[in-house]
Amino acid sequence: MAAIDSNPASEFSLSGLLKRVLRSPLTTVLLIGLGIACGLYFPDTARALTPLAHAYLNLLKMVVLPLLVASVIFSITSMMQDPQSVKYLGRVGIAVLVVSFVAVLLSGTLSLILQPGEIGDPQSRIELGKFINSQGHVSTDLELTLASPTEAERPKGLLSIILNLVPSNVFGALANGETIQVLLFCLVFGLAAGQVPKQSSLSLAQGLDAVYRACIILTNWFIWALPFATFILIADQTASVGPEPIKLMARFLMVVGLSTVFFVVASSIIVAVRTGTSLWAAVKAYQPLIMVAITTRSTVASIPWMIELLVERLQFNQVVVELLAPLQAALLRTGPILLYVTGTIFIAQLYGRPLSVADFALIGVSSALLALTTTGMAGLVIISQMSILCGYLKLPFEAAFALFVAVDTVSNTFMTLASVCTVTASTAVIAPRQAV
Amino acid sequence: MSSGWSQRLVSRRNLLAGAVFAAAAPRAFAAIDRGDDVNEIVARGNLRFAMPRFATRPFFTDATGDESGLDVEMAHGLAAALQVAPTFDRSATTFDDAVARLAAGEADIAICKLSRTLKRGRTIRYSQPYGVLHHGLITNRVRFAHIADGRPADDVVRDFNGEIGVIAHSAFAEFASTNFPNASIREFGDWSSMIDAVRDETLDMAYRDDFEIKKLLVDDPSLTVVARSITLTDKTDTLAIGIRPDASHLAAFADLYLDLARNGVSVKTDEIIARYRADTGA
Repeated sequence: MAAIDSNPASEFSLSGLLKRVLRSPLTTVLLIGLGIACGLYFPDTARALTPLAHAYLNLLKMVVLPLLVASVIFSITSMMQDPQSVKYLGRVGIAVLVVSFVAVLLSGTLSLILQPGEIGDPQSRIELGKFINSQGHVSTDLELTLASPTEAERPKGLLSIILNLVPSNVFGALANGETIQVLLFCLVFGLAAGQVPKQSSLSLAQGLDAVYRACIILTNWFIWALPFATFILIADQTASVGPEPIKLMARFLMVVGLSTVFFVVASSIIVAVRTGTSLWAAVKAYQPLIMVAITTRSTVASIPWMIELLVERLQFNQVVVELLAPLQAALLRTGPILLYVTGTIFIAQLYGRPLSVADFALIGVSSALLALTTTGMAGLVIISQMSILCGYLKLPFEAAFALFVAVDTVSNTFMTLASVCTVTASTAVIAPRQAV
Repeated sequence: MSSGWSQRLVSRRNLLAGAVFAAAAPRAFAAIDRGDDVNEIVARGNLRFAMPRFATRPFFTDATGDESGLDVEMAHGLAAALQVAPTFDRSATTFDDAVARLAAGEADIAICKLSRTLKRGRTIRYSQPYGVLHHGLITNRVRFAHIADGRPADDVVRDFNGEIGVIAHSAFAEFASTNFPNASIREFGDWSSMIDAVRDETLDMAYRDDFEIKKLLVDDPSLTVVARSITLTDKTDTLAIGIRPDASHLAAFADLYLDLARNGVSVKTDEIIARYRADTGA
């Protein structure tokens, strides 16, 4: 019995130490570094470990939809009974404008300073061309029939993308993981549930709260394996991308990376100020969220961790956070804005096309608007939307597309980090703290 | 009754006339085309090949050194099958010039990445195809983006009304007017000057087979950044052996050779590119 009595103390200290080590931001940086080294020097080991990490990623993603449904319906229903709630939506609108402006200005300025597309060196241009041609057979950019196809397939316009957000069958949307369609249904359903008398909607609210809490507990369970999954996924991504495209696109990645660092740091400062804690404490609190963003490369999949961070750790108002986090994840598209501005300027510089002030204004405004339509899109589709911007500026897009796709793993990680941190900071600014 | 009798008489006469004609026909055909062209070549001891003086690797090298390449190997194989020696006439300056030599009877065969066209078909014979390429285009990306003005690239190509470059006296000079009726055609003396014009944005598009376009991308990978390449998947450029028009036996022999020696298989763009890379070490 004495031995049993002595064990809990040692176990406690061990788990406490483990917790501190695994949740340290330094551990994150170390594991990312080790992951890159493993991918570069032991690519086979990295690839062999990948299925484990993918199974873990699925664990993280499986929580997203139940939590999204429960939290959004719950918060909308609660807010419908609170007349003050409309002011939060107005603030979200202001946040969209401010964030878009800062993202455009920052990435535009960095692109002009660092000149990512200025590749004058003939050898570098040859390497670029080799890389574009390196996908197996030498292939031409475009294959088409000279005769018009009988039923021409036209790319979807912006209007049809927006109209497709309305689900015809919400269970179908849930089954297919159409997050944005589900979110729209939850918003509308929450509005309707808010109209139901309180005594009738109480059991619904209690049920949703139970689902929400169970999801948060699940996220806390899963978070222990997060550092190891980060290591494996970074190693796999490094092994699959290889150093060559990263070298070729180094300055482009530097612009997106520096912009992301700005948003991560600014977000940490805002949270530190809002919560009255030190910057280091804010950075430590951010650590699991940053790791989830890196491993999943999905803003939507990071929503449960944003809510967990803001509500459970930083004690922001649960109802407001549960509404604002998913809503802002759809509207504050910092990552795509950074990509579009930097990418378009990159292409213009690559082809030696001078840009006027009017061109820059067009890039800024169009990038901000186009980014709003990218919610729920996969990384490659987000990149392909850049062709719309290039069309406005009469810039060729196809060759650069191959380059962006090659470094998508890295740029998408930056984009997700920037978006996730912006949404978290904006929610922290708008939402009130919980009454203690 | 009498009409029936007369009909029967007419049909008997026809039958008789038919039988006489049938018996005489082989001799008459032989008088027109005795098929002794192969005997003549065998008696002469050599098979005369027309091949342009410039190089089109990996099909044939230029006239300054020893002939080598896919087409040269085939020429040697065909001559060996006839048990004669190959001789190469490298005086032609264009593909049409090589065709003209066949038409004039100055050469027996042209194996020189020769495209089949209707115009050439009027003056020479063709074997069955031994290579199938697609039509290709290459354009300066910046210039094309200006021309497109936001329209889909497919539509721009299908209704192309700009300036399209072709090599003078080539098959594509003939294809261009048919496939791009709204475009203005500009003829160039050689392929490299046409590509320079694309690079300098002084020409909208260059038109040739997709092998030549892919070859450009292999030779100069940096071109990929500057130029956009397009394959027209429903337009094929079939390569065949050209045969002088009076040599029906030789034409049949060339077909037989392609069937037996190459199993009737047509070589495709990617295989030719692989050979080009192997030959040049690109």
